[in-house]
Amino acid sequence: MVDDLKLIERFKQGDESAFNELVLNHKDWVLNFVLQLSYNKEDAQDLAQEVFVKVYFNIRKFRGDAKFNTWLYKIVVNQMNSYFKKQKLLSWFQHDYEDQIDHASDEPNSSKDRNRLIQSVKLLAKMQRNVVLLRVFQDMTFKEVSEVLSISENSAKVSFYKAKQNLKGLINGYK
Amino acid sequence: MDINDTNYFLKGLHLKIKKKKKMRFGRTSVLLVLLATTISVQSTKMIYETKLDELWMSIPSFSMTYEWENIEEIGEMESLEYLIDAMELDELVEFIDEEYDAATWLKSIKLEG
Repeated sequence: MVDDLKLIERFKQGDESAFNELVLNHKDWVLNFVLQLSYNKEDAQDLAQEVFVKVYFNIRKFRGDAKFNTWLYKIVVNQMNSYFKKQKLLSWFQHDYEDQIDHASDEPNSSKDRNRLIQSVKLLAKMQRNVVLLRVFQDMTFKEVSEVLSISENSAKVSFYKAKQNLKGLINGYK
Repeated sequence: MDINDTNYFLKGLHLKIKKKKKMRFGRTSVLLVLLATTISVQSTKMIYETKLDELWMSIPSFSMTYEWENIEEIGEMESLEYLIDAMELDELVEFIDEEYDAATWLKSIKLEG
C-alpha cells in the first residue's frame, strides 16, 4: 500500500489516479463504519461516496499536520451527523422512527438490541454521539477519539460517561 | 448491488465528483455574471451622474421666484352672482329663503333675461 501522504502529494500535483489509490486505501473501513449506522447498503455506499467527494474537493486544505486517517475520520463523523439530521427530519414527515422501533420487535434479539442502540445514539447530544460513534463503532482509544474530535482526552472520557448514562435511560425507555 | 465492488464504487464516486464540479462551475458562472452586471450598472450610473453634474455646471446660474397672483377682494354682489351661477335652482330658492339680504338683492336685478 502506497503511503497516504505521497498519494496526496501526487494528487495535489494533478495526478487523478493517486486519488483513486487513496480511496482504495480507505474505502473498506469507511464503508464498514457507515454501514453499521445506516439502514441499507445503498445508503452506506452513498454516504461513503459523499465522504470521498468531500476529500476530493478539500484535500488541498489537508496540510499533513495530523494523520490522514484522523482527518478522514472527522469527515466521516460529520457526514454521519448530517445523515442522522436528515433522517430525523424525514421521520418527522414520515413517522417512520416509531415504525423502525416497532419493526425491531420482529427481528432477532441481537439485531433488535443493535437497532435500539443505534436509534438511541442518534438521540444523544452531538459531542456525546461523536464519541460513542468512534469509541463503540470504531473501537478507538480515548486518545484517538480526542485527536479526531479535537478535544482533550478527559473531555472524551466525560462525554462517553455521560453518553452511557443517557443511553441506559433511552434504551430502558424502549423496553 | 455488491457493496464490495470497487469499480462500481469508484464509478459512482467519479459521477458525483463530476456532478459537483458542474454545480460549482454553474454557481461560479452565475456569480460572475451577477458581478459583471452590477459593475456595469454601477459604472453606467456613475457616468450618467457625472455627465449630469457637468451639464448642470455648464448652465449659468439663475434664480427662480414665484410671484403670488394678487386678486382684489370681491364684493357682495359679485359673490352672489357667482353663487347664482354655481347653484342649482332648488339650492338657490333655499338660499333665498334663509338670506333676507339676498332676497332684497334679487328683487333689484332683472330676472326676465
